[in-house]
Amino acid sequence: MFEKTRQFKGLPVSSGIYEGVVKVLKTTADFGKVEVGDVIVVYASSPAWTVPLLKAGALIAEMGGILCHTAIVAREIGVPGIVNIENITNILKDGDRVILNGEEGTLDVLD
Amino acid sequence: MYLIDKKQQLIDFAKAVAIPVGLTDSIKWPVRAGTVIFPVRNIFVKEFFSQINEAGLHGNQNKWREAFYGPTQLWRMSHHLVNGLVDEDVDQSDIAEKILLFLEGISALNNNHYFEHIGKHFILADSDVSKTITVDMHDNKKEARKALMLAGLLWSYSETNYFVAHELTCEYHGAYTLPDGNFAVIREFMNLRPIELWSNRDYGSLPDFLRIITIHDSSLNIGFDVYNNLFDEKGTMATSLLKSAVCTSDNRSLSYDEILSLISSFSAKVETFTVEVETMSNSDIARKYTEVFWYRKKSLTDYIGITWKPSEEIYKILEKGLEQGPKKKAIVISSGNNLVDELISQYDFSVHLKT
Repeated sequence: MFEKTRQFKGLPVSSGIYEGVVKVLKTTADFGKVEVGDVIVVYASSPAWTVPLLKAGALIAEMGGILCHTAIVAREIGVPGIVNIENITNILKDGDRVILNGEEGTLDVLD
Repeated sequence: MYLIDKKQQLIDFAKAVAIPVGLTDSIKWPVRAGTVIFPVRNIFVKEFFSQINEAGLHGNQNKWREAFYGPTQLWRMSHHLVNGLVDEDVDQSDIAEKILLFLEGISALNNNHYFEHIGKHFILADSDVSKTITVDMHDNKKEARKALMLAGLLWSYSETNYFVAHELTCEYHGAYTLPDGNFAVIREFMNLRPIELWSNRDYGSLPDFLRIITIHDSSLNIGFDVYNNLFDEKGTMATSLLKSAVCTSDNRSLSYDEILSLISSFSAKVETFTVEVETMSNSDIARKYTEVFWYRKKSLTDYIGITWKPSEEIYKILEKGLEQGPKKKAIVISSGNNLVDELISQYDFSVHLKT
């Protein structure tokens, strides 16, 4: 049984509501830990992030706007996405369970 | 319809450019173009308009179509051109005239529309749309989504080759209304093996051109800005309204397995090329950016029969300029103002147009 314990607000860039398990990616060496359906959390745009995004269920980026690279690709691939949540790559940890709302821009962490 | 008042064209131009520039990310990979290209931007602009003149494009739609391959090729360099003209202290009425010349080219390349209409991007005439969509479609939604995944991946792949100059690879257009009421979006990916820019890279057996066509439910509500960015402002996911898709190469419909194979091949290249760029020195990235920038007008220089490559003198100016830092900002944003509104006023040269 999970309860919402913390909520963050970011900029919604790709619509859809998704619940899943977080994987924080800081370098390309982290790609291997992504499993199908994970919510990947990245700092900012880099083309390489598209590769794990193809397996992901949703995207969270610490930086960016509606036309940042990750937002554009998330819309193309069809995964919900939120960007621009300060320090989120340090706040979230691998294994955290979250609900992401790509229409409202809300991110709920479940405990 | 096409006798739109010139001043109105200039106002529309300002709005069209301000949206993608104002909404874009402050962080670009590997760096923002403006932070490295500023010492030579004015030279690029002078060359560009001189070469348009040399090619005799003004007043000749066919020549525009031979010298450029799509409207996005022009649109995506538009703010750099204006900034370069401002850098060069060109008279503002001359800037207005040059923007109108630029819009003439866009109109020629854009099925006689100088501007995208209500978020649509119509390059093809209606009669040509059905001719393009003649191949077998993947009606299975899962298969169709893989085609869209490949499109997203190719957007990233283009960045590893051309940085922000996505137009060198990607031309997206639509959404065209089909006879049955559904919509078609066409994504064309070209120049996928730019060996002239990256002679050290192994592109293996990757194709040089791919076309991905997606058919969507009539309730699809997506549009494009003039820089070819796809929007779904009301939260409509293109994927959820996806009915079918096809990926073609050499006018042949690729199988599902072939699409999966391309996703695998391009994924590997995206990872390799990203690492390669991220391990380059700042000066090498600036030099490569300059090369990419000049490559943007390769089709024009090919048309007039001269090399596209920047001269060594340009690289010297680049290095010196980067050491000294920017002398001035071409576009100055007043604090507290909405960025898009501010950019509209900065890019609007309509009041300077001489009657």
